[in-house]
Amino acid sequence: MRMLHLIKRICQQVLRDKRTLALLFLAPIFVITLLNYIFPDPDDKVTIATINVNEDVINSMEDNDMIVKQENGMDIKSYLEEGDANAVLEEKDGEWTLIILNDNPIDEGPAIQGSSQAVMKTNLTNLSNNIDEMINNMEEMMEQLPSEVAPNTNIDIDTDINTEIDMDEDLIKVDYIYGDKRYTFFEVLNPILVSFFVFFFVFLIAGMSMLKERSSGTLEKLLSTPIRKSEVVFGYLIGYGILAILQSAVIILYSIYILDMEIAGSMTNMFIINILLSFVALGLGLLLSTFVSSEFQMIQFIPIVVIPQIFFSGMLNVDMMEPWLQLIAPIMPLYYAGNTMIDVVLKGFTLSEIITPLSILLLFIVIFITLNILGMRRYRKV
Amino acid sequence: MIKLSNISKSFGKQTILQDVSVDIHANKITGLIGPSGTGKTTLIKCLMGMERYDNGFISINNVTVPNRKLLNKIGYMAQSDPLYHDLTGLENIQFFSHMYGMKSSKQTIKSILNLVQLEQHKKKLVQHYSGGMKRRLSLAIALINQPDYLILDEPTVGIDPVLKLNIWDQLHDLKKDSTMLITTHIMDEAMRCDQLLLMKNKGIAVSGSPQEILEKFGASDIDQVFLKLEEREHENATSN
Repeated sequence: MRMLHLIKRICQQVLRDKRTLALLFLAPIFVITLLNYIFPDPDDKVTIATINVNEDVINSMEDNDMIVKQENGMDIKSYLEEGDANAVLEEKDGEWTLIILNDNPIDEGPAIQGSSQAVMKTNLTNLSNNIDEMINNMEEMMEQLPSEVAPNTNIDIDTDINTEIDMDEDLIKVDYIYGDKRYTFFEVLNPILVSFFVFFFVFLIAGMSMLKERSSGTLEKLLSTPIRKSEVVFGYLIGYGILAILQSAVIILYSIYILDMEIAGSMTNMFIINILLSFVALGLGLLLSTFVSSEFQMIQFIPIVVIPQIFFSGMLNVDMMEPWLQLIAPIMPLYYAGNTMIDVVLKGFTLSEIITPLSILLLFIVIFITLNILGMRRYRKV
Repeated sequence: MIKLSNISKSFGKQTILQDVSVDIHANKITGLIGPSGTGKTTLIKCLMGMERYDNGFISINNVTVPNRKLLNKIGYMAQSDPLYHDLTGLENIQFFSHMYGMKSSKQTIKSILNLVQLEQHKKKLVQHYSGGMKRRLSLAIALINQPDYLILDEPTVGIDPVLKLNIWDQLHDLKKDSTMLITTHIMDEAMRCDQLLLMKNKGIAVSGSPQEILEKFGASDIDQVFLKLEEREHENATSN
């Protein structure tokens, strides 16, 4: 009963605090929307300026959906800085040079890939033409040999060697296990960001409000009533948990229905992950607020507790990291949540496949709740 | 009755309370007075179970402190005003009333709000309250569970003289069915108490009714009693 009134009070307070409401619901939507449009569209065409490049290569590049501008005698640096093209391709005495600014690796990958493909294709075509020519020459040579020599040499040239290169097909066909080639970095980033926002904002709001409750003396007053310490902790968890669940729902539904995030797995699993994560964030926020005496000190925890978790949340492959970093990863809640979100959203994992990370998140919750209840002893000994 | 026997409390190497023994009787207003830093608040926190005492024994209503259920019988008013500023006065009162596991009737809440003269301001957010109004609301919250024991840490700070008189009258009314412990450092308030505990040097130096104490020291007010205590101490130190 007491707990219900505690929950009611928390909701009442947050509903009156319009700024906090905005931080919880509008801020994540704003950032996710920005990100959606900030990443280059994979359908965007790459523009290449060419200097002294032969028709074959240009045709090949145009076949690959690249825009080719034939130029000559411009200052390459300022030309690229102006944004007239993504790269300049130049041929000099059989040497191919691709000049790029190298100030944004995301844009430059397709330019390098596309032009080297085109050059390679042209070279291969030339090679096969040369081979064809060589075979023809040899055949002619054979025919011209005196008839009495020919049977003895017994040269048998297989003239059916296939030297054709099919220019209509890609050199390599790429098979995608998950999703298709329209996937951009945003597709990977978005599920992680959903979790990150849930974690970050819930952590901040829970920590701040508990801090306020400690510094204003209301926590002490609350504990001068016969309420149980566990009732206070659970009241807080559930009170802010309701808000965290609403926040997760808003972010997830917005990503799926407004930003057209494609999900391979089930939406329910996304909710489960983020609800568990938000309770971890709540527990951690409440706990860390024990160790601070001002809002600024709470902010100081962000670079230590929140930011490093981003790197381990699935954006980068933890298996490829230094061994000691791989040891740090398992203590981070976002490592489980972020990677599991990718498993569900991109790879379509089912509930039984993600049960291990979910259990670990649950373990985090249990640990933080226990520590929080113990921490309340500071304010009352029974 | 509140019973303290041989209570000691120290934080690290600093001893705050040493061997404090005192009985606080029912139906009386007991005033705990003394210079700041003499351990008044620490003593109260030990009584409330907010701090653990190192040695000795505290019982309230024959129950050993700390005990969570005992808190049902205690009304506590802290030195700061622990109020939710984004709630109205009424919502604050209702919330704490629920924390005692009871739903106070409108009548009870109204009479308490009348007592502290906040009835017409109950719908205002606490952040728009003046300092004195907040103090009065804190007092109202301390009374909400109709406690047998009232522990008030400097209850009348920042309250204007007329209302202060009013509240003291009410407190004397309330003592009929409760045990009251009040800390103060305002000496004319001390004179309104039935019983005084003068704290000095980690313990209770003098106790008795205000009149008894004044007569004993031949002093005209409590301030002088503290000065005389100081002199005595000085003499003892030099004679040793």
